Amino acid sequence: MQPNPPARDREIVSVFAGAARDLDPLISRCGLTPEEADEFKQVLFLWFHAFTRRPGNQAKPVTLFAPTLLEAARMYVGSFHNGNGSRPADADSEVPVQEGNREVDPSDDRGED
Amino acid sequence: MGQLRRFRRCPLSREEGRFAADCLLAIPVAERSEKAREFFLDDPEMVLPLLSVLEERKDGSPSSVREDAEFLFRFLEKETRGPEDGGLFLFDEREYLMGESARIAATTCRYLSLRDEARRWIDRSEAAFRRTLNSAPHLSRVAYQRLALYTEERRFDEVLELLPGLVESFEREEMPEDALKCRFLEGAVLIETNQLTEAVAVFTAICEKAAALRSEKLVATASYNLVQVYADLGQAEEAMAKARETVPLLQRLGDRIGLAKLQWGIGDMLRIEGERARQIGDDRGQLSLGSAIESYRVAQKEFRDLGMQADVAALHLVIADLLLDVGQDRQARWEIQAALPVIEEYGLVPEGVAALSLLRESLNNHRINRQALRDLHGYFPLESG
Repeated sequence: MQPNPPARDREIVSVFAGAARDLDPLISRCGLTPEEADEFKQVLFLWFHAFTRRPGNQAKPVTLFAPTLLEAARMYVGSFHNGNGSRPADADSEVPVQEGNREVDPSDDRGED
Repeated sequence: MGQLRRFRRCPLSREEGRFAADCLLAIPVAERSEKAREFFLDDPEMVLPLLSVLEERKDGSPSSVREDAEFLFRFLEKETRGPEDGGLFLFDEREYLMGESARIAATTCRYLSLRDEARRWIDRSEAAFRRTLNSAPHLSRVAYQRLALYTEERRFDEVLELLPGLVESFEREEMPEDALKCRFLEGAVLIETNQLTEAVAVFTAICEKAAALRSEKLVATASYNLVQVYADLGQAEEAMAKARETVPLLQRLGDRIGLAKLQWGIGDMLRIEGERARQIGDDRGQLSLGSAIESYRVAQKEFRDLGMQADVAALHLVIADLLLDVGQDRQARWEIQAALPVIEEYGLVPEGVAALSLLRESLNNHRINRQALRDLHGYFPLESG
């Protein structure tokens, strides 16, 4: 997979931030602590970022994938809730998502639009 | 509250990913399973750059990439788990990565003329991709591999019937490079059905569009195909000009398959030049024919090093044909005898069974059947990229 141009990364962050607001009620039902909920979102962002770079997805507007993101979140929250989720091994794992030499912070919702 | 487990690694930068992939690939496949976790192969952040490296290298070392891709698929299949089982792979990631590794394995099996294996890997890739979200682009890429295999099997009617639909799928998915790649199959069918002028038009159009898409890989592939077609048409100057332009590009891309095919095209061009010169009584004709044989042998050595046995065998037949032209019948017999076991072992020319049988019989009678030799060579598959 090719790295994204910066504008594309901003678009991904923006769409994710928009969808993440819809995810909060879903996440809260899992009984995660606020820190764990953040980690969950970060994991979800990693998946979404990679997903948008797959062949066939690269040229399409990221907004098209917002429903897919919610679908993935619903499935993943389910596995979290069933005791099979993933999380950082240590507290230092809250590192911003990196792409190349640049950092992409999923909490940054400054998109192009 | 959910029971939380270990987290995946942070995404690697392009350079970090490439370095990690290189380190892993330096380990012999037999020892790789033991060290896989040490190299985080159970982590998608490691698998993604590894797949990128394999994709880039498949035209330079298909045998080793085949092993690597097959290993990766098996590892993902047996040693990793999805999110439902507490693994590090999120949602459909594991299936996507399995589909990609199987698709690369299928491509390299095609290059190596292992058609049954290629078919199996195409099926595996398709099965994995079917379980991913938004699977249409991935399934289209697998469909391309299937049509490329059909082309090599000379199932031209099916290729021509199915190709427009595939192009449309790629266009709908906004994948212009993949849509353009489909035209290679069209060009290959035109060559095989001896519509050479039309083939020039197709490959020239691919070159132009690929340049507009800034795809050096497609420009290079279309260019070495053009060298071959120009040579077949007897247009030596055009072939030579295109070859000069293409060599540095193929070298830069590390495309050893392309370089070997280009060398083959140069051999064809020298042969045609030599034959023309001989017809008008020019002594330089013999020299050109000698150079053509040299060129074929260079290509053959490269194909042998790449493990592409079908091309090695096909070149044995081409060289044999040329040796007969220059009166070296004994040497020609040796070339044919070297090719026949490979043709049978790989089941390379199912449509050419009659020609194969005639050729074998003629060898036994110590008088080579020239038409059978040429027919047999004509049945050899073209790899379609």
